Amino acid sequence: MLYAMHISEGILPIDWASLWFLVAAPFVFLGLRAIERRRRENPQAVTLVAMVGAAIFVISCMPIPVPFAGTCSHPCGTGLGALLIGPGPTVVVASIALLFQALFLAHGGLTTLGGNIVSMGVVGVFSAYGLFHVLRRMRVPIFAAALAAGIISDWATYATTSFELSSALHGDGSFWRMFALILVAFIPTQLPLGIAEGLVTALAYRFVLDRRPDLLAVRAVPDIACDGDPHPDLLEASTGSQPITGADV
Amino acid sequence: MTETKPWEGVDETVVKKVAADAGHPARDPYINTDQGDLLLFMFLLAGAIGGFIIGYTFRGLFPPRKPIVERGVQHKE
Repeated sequence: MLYAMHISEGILPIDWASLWFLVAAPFVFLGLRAIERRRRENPQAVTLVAMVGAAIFVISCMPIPVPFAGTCSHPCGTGLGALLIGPGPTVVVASIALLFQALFLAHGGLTTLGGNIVSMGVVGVFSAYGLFHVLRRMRVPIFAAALAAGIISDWATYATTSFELSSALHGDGSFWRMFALILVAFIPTQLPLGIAEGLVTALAYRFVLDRRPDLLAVRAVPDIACDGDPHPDLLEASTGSQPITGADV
Repeated sequence: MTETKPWEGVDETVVKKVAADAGHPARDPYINTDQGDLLLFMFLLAGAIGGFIIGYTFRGLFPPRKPIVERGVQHKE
C-alpha cells in the first residue's frame, strides 16, 4: 500500500463520514461557480486549472521517503493550487483528484471522500490562502509568504486528518489525548515534507509570477509595495486586474 | 506508536493502527486494485496520464521565450 494522509475506506463511522460530506459540499459548489466565473473572464485560466488539477492528482499520490523517519508520505499540492488558481477551484480539482484516487488507486475511500476533501481540499487550501494574504499584508516578501503558505497547507492538512480520526474514533477515551497522539505520530515524516512542499510552492508561484502573472488568481496583494520586493511584472499585471475579494473564493 | 516496516506509509504506521485499535479497521476499497502488481500498473498509468496533461497544458500556457532577435529588437554594434 502506498497511501498516506488519505483516510482509507471504512475507517470513519457512517455518521462522521456523512458529516464531512456535508461540510465539504458547499465548498465544492462555490468552487464550481468560481471556475465558471474565471472561465468567462479568462478562458486560458481554465487551462491552468486543468494543469493544477493534474499536478495535485500526481503530487498527492506520490509517496516520498523521509530518510530519518524511515517512512513514506506524500505532499498535497493544494497550497500551490490555492495560490495559482484560487481556493474555490482548488477545492474542486482536489475533490476530483481524491475521487479518482479512491476509485482506481486504492488510495483513500469513497465513504471517507468527504473527510479527505475537508482535510486536503478545504483546510489545506484555505490555510495557505489565508496565511499568504496575511503575510503579504505584513509586507513579507513574496517568496517567503508562498513558502510559509505551502508549509502551513501541508501541516494543516495532516492536523485536520488527526482531528477527523480522533473525533470519530476516540470512543470513551480522551479526544485530546488521541488527537495529540496521532498528530505527534505524523510529525517525523510530515515536518520535513511540509518544508519541501513549501519550497516547491514558492518556486512554482514565483515562476508563474515571472512568466504569466495575468493567469494568477491570487495576486500577491499588489497594493502593497514591499521594500525591494515589488515584482516588476506584478505591478504591470495588477493594472486592470480584479482585487482579491470574497468572490474569488 | 507501532513497529514499522522500512519505508511504510504513514497511513499504515499511524492512520490504520489508530483505526484498528479503535475497532474501525480499514476495509478493502470497492474497486480493489491493490492486488499483486496491478496497483503498480495503476500508479504508472495515473502518473503517465497526469504527466501528459501537465506537460501539454504547460506548453500551451508557458511557451518557450523567443530569442531577442525574433522579437524584432535590433542590436547595436
